[in-house]
Amino acid sequence: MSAIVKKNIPLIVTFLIGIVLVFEWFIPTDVGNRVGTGIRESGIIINSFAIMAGVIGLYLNEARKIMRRRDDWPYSVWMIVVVSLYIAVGVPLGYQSDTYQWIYNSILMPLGATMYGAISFYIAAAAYRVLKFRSLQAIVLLLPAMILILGNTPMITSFWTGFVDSGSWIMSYITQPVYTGIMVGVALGTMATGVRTLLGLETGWLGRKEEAE
Amino acid sequence: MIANGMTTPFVILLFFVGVLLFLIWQSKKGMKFEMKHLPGLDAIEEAVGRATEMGRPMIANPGLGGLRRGPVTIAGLSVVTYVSRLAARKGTGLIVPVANPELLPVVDEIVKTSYVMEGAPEAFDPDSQIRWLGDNQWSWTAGLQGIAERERVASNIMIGDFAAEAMILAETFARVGAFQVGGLTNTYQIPFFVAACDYTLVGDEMLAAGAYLSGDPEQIATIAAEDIFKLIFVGVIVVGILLGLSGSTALISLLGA
Repeated sequence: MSAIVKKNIPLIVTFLIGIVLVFEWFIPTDVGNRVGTGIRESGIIINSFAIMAGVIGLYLNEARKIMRRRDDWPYSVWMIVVVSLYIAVGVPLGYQSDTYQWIYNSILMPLGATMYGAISFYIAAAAYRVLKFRSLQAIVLLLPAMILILGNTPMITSFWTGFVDSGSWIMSYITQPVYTGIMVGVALGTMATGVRTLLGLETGWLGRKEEAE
Repeated sequence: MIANGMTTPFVILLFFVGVLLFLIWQSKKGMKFEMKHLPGLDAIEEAVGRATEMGRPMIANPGLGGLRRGPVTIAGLSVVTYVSRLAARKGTGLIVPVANPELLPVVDEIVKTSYVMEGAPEAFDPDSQIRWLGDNQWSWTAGLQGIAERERVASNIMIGDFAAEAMILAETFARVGAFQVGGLTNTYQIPFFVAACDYTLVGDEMLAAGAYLSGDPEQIATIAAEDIFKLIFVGVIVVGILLGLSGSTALISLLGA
């Protein structure tokens, strides 16, 4: 029974839905479109339930940490306060209400923007470590990198645009073909993984149940 | 009938599935396919061993996306399965950070199953091992940075769906001295992982992780199908270049049909 519920049913559902959606994409029909739309809407509903289950699990998990005074338990208190605040405002007023939007735009957006802005410092730190004259390979990496850095530095390009043209050439004629090669591999890998999943060969996402039974 | 402009892709897909099924059938009949070694995936065992010896936790990160990201997340989950089994076997502290709420029960189930399969169900602690850090990209990233700094993570396996946070994560874990294996298909983020990780799986290498780690001959046969099509596509590209130089647009018309 356990194997049927945990392995066979998910694999059968995956196969049927996958086949329907593939044919709906390539051979559009009214019936196929209705079935495909229904499947996608079901996905949204299931996702909503997953979020609800996630929130309940979050409350239970954080409450347990507070009661057991685990490490960093004050953060759990803060988590519960913030999630409760969003629920208290969002459920009765809706997520498009001014109050909810104010909380979102005043707290989450600036924090997110700060994190995003910090990327440049991490890139600089990583670039410093990578771009060193250590070997022939490192030099091959360093030279085009320097051209691109100089081509994107306004102080340099304001009096000479040669680095801009060189950088564009590198991006168009060296980087882009390599990216294209990777994308071809990714496309084939995606198709192969998709077929493996539909056929029930790829079961890592189910925890490889066949060995557990 | 077939949607406009979709005939060629549909024929290619059918042809690909046909070759793939044929090779799986051949594999069932006993034909052996050899897969090249992927140092990044071989290094996972070293990463688990390192964390065990140092007595510090390690991270198996399937990425930001949920199951809707399809094969990328499925490949990431296959790696989580493999890592959690190794961690359960060696008694290594394992943390699996989750961003997408729909992925949470899936990750919980696969890690629990791994511990049961390795005969250590009592070592599985969902409170400390499975950590949902919010599905906002930056809260998830900040949460992971906090874990890296506070718990001095010894090894970090990041194979899955990563976007702009890739650089921050890879650099943070590099700073705390973690041994890192990264893998992703997002071409714009690949250079960041290459710069900061000890090993990086690029593109289809990452998608082959499930087949490679399982050692299942039928799954490895599907990788052989990929390689056959790579050769065919290289041939098509060469023909396209020659036709393009001669001024012909026949191939473009055919592929656009």
